[in-house]
Amino acid sequence: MRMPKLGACIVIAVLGLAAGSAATVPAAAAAGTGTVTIVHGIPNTPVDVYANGKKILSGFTFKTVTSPLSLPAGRYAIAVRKAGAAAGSAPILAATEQVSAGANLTIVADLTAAGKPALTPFVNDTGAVGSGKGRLVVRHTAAAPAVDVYAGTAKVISGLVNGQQQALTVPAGTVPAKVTLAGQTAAVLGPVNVPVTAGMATVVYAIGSASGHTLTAVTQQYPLGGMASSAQAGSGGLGADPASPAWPFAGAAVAGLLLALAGTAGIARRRRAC
Amino acid sequence: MRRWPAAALIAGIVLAGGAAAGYAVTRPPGHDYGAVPATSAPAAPADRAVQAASSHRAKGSGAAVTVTAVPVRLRIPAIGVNAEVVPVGVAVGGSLGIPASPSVVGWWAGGGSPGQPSGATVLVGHVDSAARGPGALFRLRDIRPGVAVTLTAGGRPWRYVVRAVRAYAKAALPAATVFAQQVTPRLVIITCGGPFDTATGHYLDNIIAWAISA
Repeated sequence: MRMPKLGACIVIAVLGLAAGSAATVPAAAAAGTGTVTIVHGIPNTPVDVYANGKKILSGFTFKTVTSPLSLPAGRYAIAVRKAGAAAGSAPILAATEQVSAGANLTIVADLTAAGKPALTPFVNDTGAVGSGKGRLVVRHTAAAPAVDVYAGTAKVISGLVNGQQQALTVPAGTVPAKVTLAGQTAAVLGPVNVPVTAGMATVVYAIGSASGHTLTAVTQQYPLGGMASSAQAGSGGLGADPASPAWPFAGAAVAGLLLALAGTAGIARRRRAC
Repeated sequence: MRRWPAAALIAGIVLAGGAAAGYAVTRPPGHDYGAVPATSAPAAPADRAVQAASSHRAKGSGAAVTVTAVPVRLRIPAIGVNAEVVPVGVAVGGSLGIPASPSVVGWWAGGGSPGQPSGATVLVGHVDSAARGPGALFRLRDIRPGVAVTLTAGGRPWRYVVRAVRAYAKAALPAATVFAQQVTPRLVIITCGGPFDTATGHYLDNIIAWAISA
């Protein structure tokens, strides 16, 4: 991109920031809501999920990732019960989560390294990355020891342990990823093709249990960046308006004016001659 | 022979005048059809979009927890559009991401979604690609107010009707209006158009179709 145009984009972005104080936080914040995604990573355990005593998910099963849920900002008592269990029965898991306006959280019902069920919250980093790039995040939420993560043949994450995450900024495209036990080369997961979209985070969750042979991966995508301010949506020129059609007309106009001038001069000279 | 200067004067005036008139008649038409939906605050909860959102609430929820209706397909039969939709985000500097494939349309996942009580649902699609030819929204500039648009999201169709189609110079894009979230619900479909700058490989204009719930 040429500098003058980039400059104009920056000016527009700055004006946007000045115009709306919410410009640096996700747009959803405008409505005073936060976004929560729930991931099910406990094998063989269909559940119902409650928020503040109200059932929000029914028959939620292993390997399922919800669409983003929009919640008014506030504190939420999250309770996970066996699918079909009475609303008043003792939950399998319970936790309290603060959802702030504009926040983007993921709550994973998962297994600890030792294989005990747990609720693990993650804050989703919505900070923007460069044009044409995305963020690849790997979260270890499985009953498994420390792991390494490879993109193709390159080791990109080392020694990731349960409950932890690591993020990379990568060009948009497809990343062939595999997970190995730390220090080993044989894949315990993958290789799988992970799509990375421009301006989006792709989160890969390792879930299940290594000893239970239920180790698998699920993915979530969420948007990066604050308010949008521009869009480039073409590069071919096929849909362009005709190239400036003015010049033939301008040429004809100039020729006409010259002709008129010559005529005027001729008339004037003849007048003088008389 | 004696009258040539007068003839030249008349011919010259006719030629110059004709050139000006010819330019006025044949230059590309500006894109300015219909009225852009007002940038007003969301309407009272009697609004039908709010009722639609209510029907889309998470099962059994009495709380105001709503499941985002993630768009997956865009149909505009009038211009032959039937395209897959994927979520996109925003890069450093504020530019909206766009799917790598020109036949796929992007949905700004940081903005609005169908059925929400407020905010613009923003779609962005290629007019074309240098490498791969015409894109999903190649003919967006051809649609006019009244055209029907269907967006499939959250497992059901959401029907819209186009209210306006406009061209905006990118340098003067009214971004605060285009991407607005504290407004009555609308669908904003963006592509590129206008003159093409071969030096930068970019179009100079954004073509935008504005639609509201049908």
